[in-house]
Amino acid sequence: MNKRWYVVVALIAVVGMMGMVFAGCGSSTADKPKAGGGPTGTVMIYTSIYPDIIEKVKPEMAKAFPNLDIQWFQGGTEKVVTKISGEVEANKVSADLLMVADPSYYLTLKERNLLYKYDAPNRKDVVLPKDEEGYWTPVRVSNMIIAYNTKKISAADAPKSWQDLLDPKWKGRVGMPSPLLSGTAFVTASALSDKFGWDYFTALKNNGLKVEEGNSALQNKLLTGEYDIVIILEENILKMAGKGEPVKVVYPEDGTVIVPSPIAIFNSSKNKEAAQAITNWWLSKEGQQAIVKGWMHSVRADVEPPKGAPALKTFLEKAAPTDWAKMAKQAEQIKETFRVKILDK
Amino acid sequence: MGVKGALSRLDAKWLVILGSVGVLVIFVVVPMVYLVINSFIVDGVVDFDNYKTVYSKIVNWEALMNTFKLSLLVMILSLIISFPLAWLVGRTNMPGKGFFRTTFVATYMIPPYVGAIAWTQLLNPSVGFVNTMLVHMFNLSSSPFNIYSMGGLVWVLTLFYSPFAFITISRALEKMDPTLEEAARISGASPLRALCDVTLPLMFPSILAGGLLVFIAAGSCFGIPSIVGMPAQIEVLTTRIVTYVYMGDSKGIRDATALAVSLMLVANSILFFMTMMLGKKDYVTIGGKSTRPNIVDLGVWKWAAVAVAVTYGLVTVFLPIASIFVSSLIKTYSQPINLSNLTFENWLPVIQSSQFIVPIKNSFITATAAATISTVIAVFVSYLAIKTRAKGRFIPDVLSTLGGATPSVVIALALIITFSGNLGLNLYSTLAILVVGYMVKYLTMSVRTISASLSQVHASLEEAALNSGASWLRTCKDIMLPLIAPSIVAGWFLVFMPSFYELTMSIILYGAKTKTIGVLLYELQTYADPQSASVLSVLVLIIVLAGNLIIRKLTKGSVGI
Amino acid sequence: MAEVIIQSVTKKFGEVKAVNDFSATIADGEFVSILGPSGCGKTTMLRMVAGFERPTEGDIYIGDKLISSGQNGTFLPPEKRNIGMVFQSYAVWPHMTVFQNIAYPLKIQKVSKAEMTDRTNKALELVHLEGYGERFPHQLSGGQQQRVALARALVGEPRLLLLDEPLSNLDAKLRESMRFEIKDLQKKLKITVIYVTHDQAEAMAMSDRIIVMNQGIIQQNDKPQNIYENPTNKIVADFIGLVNFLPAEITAGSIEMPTIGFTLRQANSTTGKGLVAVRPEHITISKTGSGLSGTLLHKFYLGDSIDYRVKVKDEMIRVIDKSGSFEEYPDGETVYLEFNKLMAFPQSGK
Repeated sequence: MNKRWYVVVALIAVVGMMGMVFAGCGSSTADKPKAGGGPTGTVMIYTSIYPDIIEKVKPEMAKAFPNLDIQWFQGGTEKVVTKISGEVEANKVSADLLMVADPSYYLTLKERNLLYKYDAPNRKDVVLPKDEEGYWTPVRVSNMIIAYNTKKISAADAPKSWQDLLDPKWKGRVGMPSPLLSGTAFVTASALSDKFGWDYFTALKNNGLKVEEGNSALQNKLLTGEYDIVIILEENILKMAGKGEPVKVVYPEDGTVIVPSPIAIFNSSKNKEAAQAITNWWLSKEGQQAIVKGWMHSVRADVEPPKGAPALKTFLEKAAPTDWAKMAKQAEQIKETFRVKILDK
Repeated sequence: MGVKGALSRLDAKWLVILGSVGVLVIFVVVPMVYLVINSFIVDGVVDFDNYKTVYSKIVNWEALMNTFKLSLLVMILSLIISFPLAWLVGRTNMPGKGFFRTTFVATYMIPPYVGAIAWTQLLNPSVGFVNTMLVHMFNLSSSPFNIYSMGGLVWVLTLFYSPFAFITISRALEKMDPTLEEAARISGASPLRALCDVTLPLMFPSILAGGLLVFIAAGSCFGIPSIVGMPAQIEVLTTRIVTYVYMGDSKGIRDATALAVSLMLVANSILFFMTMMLGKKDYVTIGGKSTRPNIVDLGVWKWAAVAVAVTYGLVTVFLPIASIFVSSLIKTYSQPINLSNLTFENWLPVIQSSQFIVPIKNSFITATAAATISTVIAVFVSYLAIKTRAKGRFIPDVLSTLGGATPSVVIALALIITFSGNLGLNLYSTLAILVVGYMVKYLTMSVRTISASLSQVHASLEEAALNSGASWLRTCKDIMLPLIAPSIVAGWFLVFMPSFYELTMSIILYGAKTKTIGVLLYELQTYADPQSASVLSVLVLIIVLAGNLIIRKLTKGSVGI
Repeated sequence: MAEVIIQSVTKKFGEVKAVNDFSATIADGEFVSILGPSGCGKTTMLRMVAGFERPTEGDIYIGDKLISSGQNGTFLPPEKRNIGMVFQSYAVWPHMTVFQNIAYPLKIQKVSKAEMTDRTNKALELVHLEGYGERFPHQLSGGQQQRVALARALVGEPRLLLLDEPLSNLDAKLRESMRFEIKDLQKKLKITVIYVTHDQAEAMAMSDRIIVMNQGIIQQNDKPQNIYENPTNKIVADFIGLVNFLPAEITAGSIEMPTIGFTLRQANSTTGKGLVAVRPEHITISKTGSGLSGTLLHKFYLGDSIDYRVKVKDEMIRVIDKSGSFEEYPDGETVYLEFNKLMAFPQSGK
């Protein structure tokens, strides 16, 4: 009989340990509605917007939606997409709203009937191309540009265009993020290969192009001087320059790669009312000002550009072509081609 | 698994073992198997198309070869480095052994992605700190080191994963019956000869176990190859797998899984090979007599040993930690490192804000739970494999390797798919799913460590206790556990540490209220300033070192690393 | 040839003196036991002879060669000492066969293959393990592993054999038979042996001489018989054999034992408070009234002897009668005790 007790104790210990862990994470508690109107309940937003911007936006959104519990999952576009892939596979998407960078991903989601159509009132002020039926709407504009270290390179000497990067004097001094691991780099590879052909990247490779994991690695290596020139997101550089770091953006004469990142509601959302209200808020002037504070460009014409940047329209017309449909359909081929042409030794 | 036999006599022993195996199956095997099955069943039809596409690409074979080559080199180098260090620390009168013991495993306490970034700052060919310094000192025409190379990758991986080998080997060295070596000496063998003829062969299981851990860890690591290998255009399996995952659709997941399977196969075939090799030999070196380790008097060589240990510690531990620490003090990366560019200002916001308190608490809870549960399972799974004669006793042991040899991102996906309620258990967005994730990934660390040590305990010690009338569980508590206690502590630590700062899985599995240190570190590194990330890394390091120190003091050195 | 001379050897571990001023000479071919309770320093002394520890002070010679010196730092490593040693844990290597284990010292000496096989087989024969050569140690019993260890220690024909509690892990019967085997081997090979044990019966049975140690210090160094019959102090008396201790007042001409109310006339060199030690087998018990009277409390019949407990005034005295002429004593009866031999020690002395 004594033995049995040991068994019981041991099993309780094992089960208890597991239980303890699970108990520590009870479900969220429903808050009582506070005074004021607007949607209620909980809403979950998956986004790749930087956490510091979200932190700044939180109080404003709390004011606009006093009765709504807004939860955020934040991560790089690739990580958010991976999480959603798993959730789609499990048929259990827990996001109501999606705000990641890569527009082509929204085309894929729309085609798989995962998005919910919503023609937000504020959509009329969005000057960038949007889904005609209202499945997705651009909410912020990021740009892939050329940046250089002003301590190493003078403004006069700096490259002015993508083609300038092929100049032998930059041999081994240029870096870019990997299209295989970074969504914005993928868009860049696709756009520039459409414009110049893959030969452009082959030439870059022959000029000693270094490929890194992502934008932040490049940003730091530009600061330390490991690279003199990088192909990178505009907002990283604007933010650094705003802090007084010796970095500067070049909007290539032969076409900035403009990435209008959309917002969309999931079909499976349990709180569409709230999701719609939030979508409309982000597209409002107020919401767009938060975007601009995060060093990105607004999708509205009536909002100032981020500090230190020219207005979007000054380089919008010259933008490199971006074929989102092609990127959605041929993502694997595009990445594979880049890998074979550039990454293979 | 001898289930029939076990059921017919449901005694304590088999209930506990079955319980452990049950937890292993539910939380580790089911998700992995579910994912693997999903990888070749598309809409209910068996379809090996993605296997065909994935394995018909030369680049994937190259990545497989690179991974194998890399892991093997890292393993060999780790063993070559760790054995002498473990010997110096465990078996000689080298001064400052306790200090060096902690130093040699300290690299394991640095989050690998933070450490890898530190190394690229030190050894990049254009402005690497060590490179520029050497160029100045010796008037060289070009940088002597290039971190972006196969060699650089081997170096960084070795530094991060050699502590596996060091811990496993030094535990075994200390537990070995010293008279076995003395017998060789008195038979006429020189110390070196005794080492080769007796110590090394007897240490073989532990050396292999440590080596295998290094192999698996190096092979399934993504952070270091992505930071160090990417600029050198070295593709390994994990970077290929992550590329597939990032395709962002179910096909991508299936392709990734198809490729991940080869990593699991490689790791498990090596494990199998190892078990076969060990199966032939019955090394039992922890005898019945209590022993104190045989301490070799190094004489004047003592100081040479200290010099070697200090140099190794300086290069492998001090240099990257100093680099991280300086990063945490630096005002801007664009200026050279001098006093005017150093400040404690980066520390203030991190220390003042409460943003890091919740993640540290979450990481502490999840890592402790993962380490503890893993250790309990590991003890009984190892016991089953080594001390019983049940049919298929090695199966759970092998199954525990599944997760260890799988890239974290694939595990995270598997857990989302299996534990979001479809199979009756919904852990999604809870701390529990993080615990399960860490367990899946690191369980093999504790299983390997503990089973290596268990295989050295003579059966007679257990039998003697049973004969004295102790129940089996009592015997475990009184005899088995104390004898392998150092390995249990080591195994626990080997799970706790990487769980504590885990990044890849956490960043996909964390929920609104379950942010962990790894996630915060990633955010700081990516979006805020790397300076703040360095501050947090230093804080983590201080917390871990202080915790270790306190535990060692409280237990008078018997527990702790 | 293989005389061992130990001169004033002291070994300190930190501040603790494990061995304190140990001096002894072990003659060639002599079998000497170092006997003492655990922790008395006997193993440390043996390990210094083997070369696993260095003396803090003092010199150790084997033959005429100084092999270890605390003074000038001379130190010959163990592998150069040509010593055979058997460990308490046997230390048989689990990864080698019995043959490989035994042949190992010859392999180190680079003996030719044929000779190695020949000598190893002879060693196997010597320890009665013919035919066990290809087995692995885990396939052997404890006693057999013990013999492997012995064969390995002897195969290199060492000048000196060290045995560190070699029999303590064996069962009682095997232990007894191994005693004779080891002694037999020693006589046959005429080898010098230092034997460390805490088992006094073992030491008595096998040794030419016994060195009794306690707390690092030699208590007595003498023939077994002398150790038993004339222990130099109460520690030795207590450790070897059985003994009744009685407090005593010693004067020049008498020993007074107040607790049993008995005074013995005897000339003594030391005087003052002391202890009297009487071995139970040195007491004659009888019904008739000569000697000391007491009350019989218990008796234990042991076949070859009877073990009595007799209450004399305040003391309980143990008596062992091996005379064979067993009288019937009912418990509680008055009996008379006669001390045939007693040993007196001053209180202060060790």
